[in-house]
Amino acid sequence: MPKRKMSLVKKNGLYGWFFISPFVLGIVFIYGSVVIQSFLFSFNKIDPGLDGYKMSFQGLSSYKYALTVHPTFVREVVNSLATMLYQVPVAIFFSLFIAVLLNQRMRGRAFFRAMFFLPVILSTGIVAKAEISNLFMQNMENMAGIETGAGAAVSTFDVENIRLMLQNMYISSGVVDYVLGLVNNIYSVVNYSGVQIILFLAGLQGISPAVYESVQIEGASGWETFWKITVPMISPIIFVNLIYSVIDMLTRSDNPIMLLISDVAFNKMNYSASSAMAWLYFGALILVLGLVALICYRYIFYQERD
Amino acid sequence: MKGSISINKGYLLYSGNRLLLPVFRFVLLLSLSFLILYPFLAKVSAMFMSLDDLLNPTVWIVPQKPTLDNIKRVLTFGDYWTATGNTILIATISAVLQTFICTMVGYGFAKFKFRGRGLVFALVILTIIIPPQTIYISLYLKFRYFDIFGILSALGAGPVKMVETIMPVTLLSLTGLGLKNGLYIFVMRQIFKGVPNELNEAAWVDGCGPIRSYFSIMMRIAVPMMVSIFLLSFSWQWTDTFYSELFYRKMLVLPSILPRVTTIASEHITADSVMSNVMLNTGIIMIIAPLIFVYLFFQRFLIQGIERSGIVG
Repeated sequence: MPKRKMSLVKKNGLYGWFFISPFVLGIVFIYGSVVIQSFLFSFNKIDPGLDGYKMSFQGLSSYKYALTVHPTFVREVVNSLATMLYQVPVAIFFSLFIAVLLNQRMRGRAFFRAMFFLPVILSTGIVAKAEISNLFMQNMENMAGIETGAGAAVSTFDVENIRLMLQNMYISSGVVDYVLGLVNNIYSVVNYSGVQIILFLAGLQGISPAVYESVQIEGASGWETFWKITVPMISPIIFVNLIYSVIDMLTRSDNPIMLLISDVAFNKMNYSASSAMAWLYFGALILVLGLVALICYRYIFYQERD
Repeated sequence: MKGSISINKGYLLYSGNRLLLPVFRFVLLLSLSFLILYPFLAKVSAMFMSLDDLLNPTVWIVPQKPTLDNIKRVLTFGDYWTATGNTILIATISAVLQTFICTMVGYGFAKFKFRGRGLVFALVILTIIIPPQTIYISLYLKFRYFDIFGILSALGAGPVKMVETIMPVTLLSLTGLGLKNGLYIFVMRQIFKGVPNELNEAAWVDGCGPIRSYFSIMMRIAVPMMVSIFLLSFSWQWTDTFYSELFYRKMLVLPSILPRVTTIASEHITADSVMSNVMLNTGIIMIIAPLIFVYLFFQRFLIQGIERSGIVG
């Protein structure tokens, strides 16, 4: 057979596979079997014994159990999705706003950036886990009138009067409740947005100063610059943050569904029901993500389209 | 409001903007920082308090009888330095590997077209969605009896016991499967998608292959995001309880000193729950203190580094 030169497209594709090869190898050799095993658990009845466990096939009955028998599963899923709808936009707007502020030249920028990095450390892993049981310190961290994330704070902030005032200004009570709820929970908003702020901050570094310079010469105001330059240029990162926020809100370890799933697995010892619930929940999550991606796709600005 | 005081409205508006905006920004950031910092400050001050101070309701933030006993107890009972050494090793290996691997994989997804790209990328997203708790048991079994489709056993090397070594974390980081690596890959893909293709084309015209152009051009553009990923990955690995409970039951890492410290405190010092809570608190601060220094050191690379490209607009 005559040796044929590879076409550019084909060569290009091979390079692509080269770059993503670590991940592909990982999926094939490590992750794939692990996930498949967990998926098979949901179709089998699992009896843990002294040495390992026994599996016996039982079809879809765990799924039936999760959907029709379990008293709270379906309701909790719907609740979680609704809460997510309310939290995600807040996290995105807040983190973009803070990232833009932190990106500006000012005194104490390094200090402020370090401050906004703290929630990322404080809200994950061992720290978050240990916090829950530390009642004494929660008491010490309480401050009257401000939610510090340490238990319930007593509100001396006169929320009722502000609510009345805003309602007298004919702002609908739904909007008022929403905004006041956010103000009251500002600490959790900050906590939820830590990672997003960092990603936005790094994304903002990528926008060439030359673009800003040229719009300034064209006479654009700060407002216009933000909407016509910053937002489109940062839109790929907005998309990541949107997807990440959805996933994070729905799968963080204090999410009611996550608690329910591990409760069913480790306290009720019903592994198959717990993995059936987990897989059903992922199904719902993937639907939501697909919807988000579909809506966003038109609005993201990439340098090239494929 | 800005101009109402003076007759010279234009002037005040101008200077008002220049003055008011930074002040507003400063006050806002300062108050948010205070909100973040306050619980942290309370923890730090409790670290230096003796039991008398802790039980005295009039003591607030500033201890009356400051003491270093709490810190000393964590250092000795928790075997702090050994744990820190192990954690530095694990966190550094995984953060460095993850940063470079995820950047590379993200680049592959962003800049090359090939069959099956969408499918593999869907798998990336899937690895973020599936919470590690779901695959807890399977993952442990995988690394307890590590084998690749039975090949190692066939060769006589047998299933390898990898737990209690740095191997599981290294392998997972090398293959972009560590903690939240899917997020890093995704964000890197987005970053590279924002880079104009003309840069690559220019490099190719100049006789620079895809691999070299990646290392000498593309990776430099992604430096701010790489630094961010390094920081996230380092600190998540540092405080992680998932892998440390799964793989390191005997090898001492920082997250696992907390239970030791609290049980020893309640057995040897006093059974009072206040004491064990304070030891827990001191342990937390001592675990995250090094992270803050790491952040302060690396944040200088988060500034606008390289002028993004030779292409304007």
